[in-house]
Amino acid sequence: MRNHSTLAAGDVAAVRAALLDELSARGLRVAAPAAGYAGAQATAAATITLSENAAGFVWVAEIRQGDRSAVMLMAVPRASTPAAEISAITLRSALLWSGPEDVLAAAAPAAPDAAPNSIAAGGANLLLLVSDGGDASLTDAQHTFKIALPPSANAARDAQGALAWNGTLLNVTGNGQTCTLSLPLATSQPQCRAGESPTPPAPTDQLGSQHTELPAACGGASAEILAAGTGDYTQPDSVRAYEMRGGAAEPVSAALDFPGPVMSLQAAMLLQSQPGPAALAVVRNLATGDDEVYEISLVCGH
Amino acid sequence: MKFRSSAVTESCSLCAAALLAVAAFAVAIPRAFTVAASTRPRVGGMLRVELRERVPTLDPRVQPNEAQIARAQEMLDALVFDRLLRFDDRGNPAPALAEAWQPEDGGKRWQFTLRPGVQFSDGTPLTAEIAAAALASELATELGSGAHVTGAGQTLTIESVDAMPELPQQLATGRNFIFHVAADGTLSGTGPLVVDHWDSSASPQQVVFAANAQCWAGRPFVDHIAISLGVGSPRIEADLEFGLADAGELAPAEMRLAAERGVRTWSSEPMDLFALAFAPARPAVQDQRLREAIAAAIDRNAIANVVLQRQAVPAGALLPEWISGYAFLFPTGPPSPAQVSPDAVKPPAPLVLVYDSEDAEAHAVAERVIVDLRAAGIAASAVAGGANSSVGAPAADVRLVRIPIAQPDPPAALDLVLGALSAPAAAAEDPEALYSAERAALADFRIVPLAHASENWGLGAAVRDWMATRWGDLRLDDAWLDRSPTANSQ
Repeated sequence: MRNHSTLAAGDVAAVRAALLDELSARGLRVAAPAAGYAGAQATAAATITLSENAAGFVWVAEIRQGDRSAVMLMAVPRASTPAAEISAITLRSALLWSGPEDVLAAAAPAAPDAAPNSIAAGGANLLLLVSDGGDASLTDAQHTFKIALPPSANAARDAQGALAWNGTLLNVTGNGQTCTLSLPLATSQPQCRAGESPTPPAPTDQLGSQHTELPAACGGASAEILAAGTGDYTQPDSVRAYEMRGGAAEPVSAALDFPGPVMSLQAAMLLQSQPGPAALAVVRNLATGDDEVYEISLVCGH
Repeated sequence: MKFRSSAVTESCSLCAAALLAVAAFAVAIPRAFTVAASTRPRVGGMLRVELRERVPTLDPRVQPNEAQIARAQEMLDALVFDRLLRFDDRGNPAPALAEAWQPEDGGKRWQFTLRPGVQFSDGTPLTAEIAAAALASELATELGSGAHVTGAGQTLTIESVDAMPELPQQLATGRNFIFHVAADGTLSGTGPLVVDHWDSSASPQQVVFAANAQCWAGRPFVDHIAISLGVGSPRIEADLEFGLADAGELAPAEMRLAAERGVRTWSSEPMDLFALAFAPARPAVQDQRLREAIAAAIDRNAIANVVLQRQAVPAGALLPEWISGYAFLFPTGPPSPAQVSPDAVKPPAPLVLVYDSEDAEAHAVAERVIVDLRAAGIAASAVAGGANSSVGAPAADVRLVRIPIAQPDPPAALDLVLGALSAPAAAAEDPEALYSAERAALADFRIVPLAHASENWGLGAAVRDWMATRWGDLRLDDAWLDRSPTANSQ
């Protein structure tokens, strides 16, 4: 087996093991090419190549049987997994959603007292404001409903959005306008007015444009600031926790890496799965082109 | 996913299919990355860009013969004009001026729903009738006279006597721009910029674009983009080094120099195909053994690594690996002696290899090919000629073509290459059919791939969010400038 793709060695080994198991289950014996007598007696020889193109993986089997040969190819979609780091105050990430849509904002309004079923059909606890490059629409992670927001002449190229939930009304800001929706969202008619795109906090020497404040954690007296870095949208990014000390932001956690720029970082309401301070980050995965929504939680200690 | 095999037993085929299918679901795929970070763009300033090619016009209705010039013109036109569709980062068609589309009648008819509320820069609302008028000529060229495009309200319909499975991919690239022609003949687009000044006779040519504040996709971050055309690569490198340009197209030879001098560089995936195309009617190259001997004699590694300064990869296939995923199945060398006696393949007279006189890289590649052929005992000479399409330049037995494959979709990319080589379209969609089509196209050695070269750029210290696609489509409207003193230290 040859690996021409970006698959890591461990993944290649897993593929190889799965292949051998499957062949064995089908009653076939496998011999390595250099296995001498066993290899010489093989009825067919197969070279498997794990390759890749722009759309995904391409796996190729070259099979020789006597003087005949054939090549078979198969397209295999990519998958991705989140990454996490551990530190004194540890930031942990959990991938909540990924997809090809441009996510302008994400919110998790399903706080323990907020009756998820009343917010979105299917009990969704993640709302997404997505854009197709011009129009914006509000949807839940399972796409059980979709509310189109009318186009606006105030659209910005660097599209940003915001979702603000007050328990009964949802304010959706994006595409140069602000729309208010009531429960249940799936049948709500948006009431829209012109408005500016939300402006994130100004970057500082230490903190990028994307930063948000969370309640004090781990017995500390000051609020925790989660901040992305200061590169541009072509670079991978990280989020780190800071505390303000003597007028300066001091890091209190290791950086949590992401596979692309953090496009949006907002404090989240408490999620049922992760009691404690949390934020939602929208990340544009540079490897896949997909937008990904992560829940970032602060954990005290290792 | 479908598997086919006629050359091995059914049990072996099923076995191989199972192999791949089982393995496909065996792993999740983690990714490694390094860390930097993200800042919101800043608005304002003039982005100064330098290109090596001159273009005869900015009119998207005019198709230059030379592929490199056509590519440069298309890049400029894309700043002013939109297409119905675009490619997302994975190479899938995505909404642009059309927000929805669907095939009917087995792909012989497609309906596109236009995005509402879009205006051309002259204030004219986008309608399906205008879009249909803009597309009619180009689609007739691409799809043949059987194609028919009509518009009514917000719905544009394209019909053909044949199925058009790749129509969305076609409409996302090439010269399928949507424009409005005013009564005085002036062209307007819906894109992020408008032409503010255009001096086609200057040397270098100068074009200044201004931001289109009414663009449906949002105003560009920079106020202006000034582009100089026809600038030599050494001059571009120097201008980048001394801060006189913000972005510039670099020849392979200048890439290493630029990096050594602290200029940021960016390269596309290998995408420009260099290949030999034998003239179908020339008696000297009718013997397939000669063509095969020529293919075997060429040192592709030397072309990629020495002539093109490692800004290319050796090519045995028409499509590069990053587009097809199977290019490794086509061998690329090293060169081997002819399988037959040199006397048996000796041409009656020295072969004439014609290359594009305006293309310095093509000249260098052609000279290298001649060296390899002479080393194999095949007399040949390189002669400067016209464009890729000018097979009839000085008695060409074979011409060196350079085809920019600015197209990530494998079926559309293969059709683009075959079309440029005047070969029949592949009509293939899945990887296995595409592989078979490439095999068939190369089987008689009338087309001999040599290398896939990257497009290369140098970037000034102030440029941020240079988000060109892997296949080299620039997104200058998404770039922004950071002229702060700290920018120079990054």
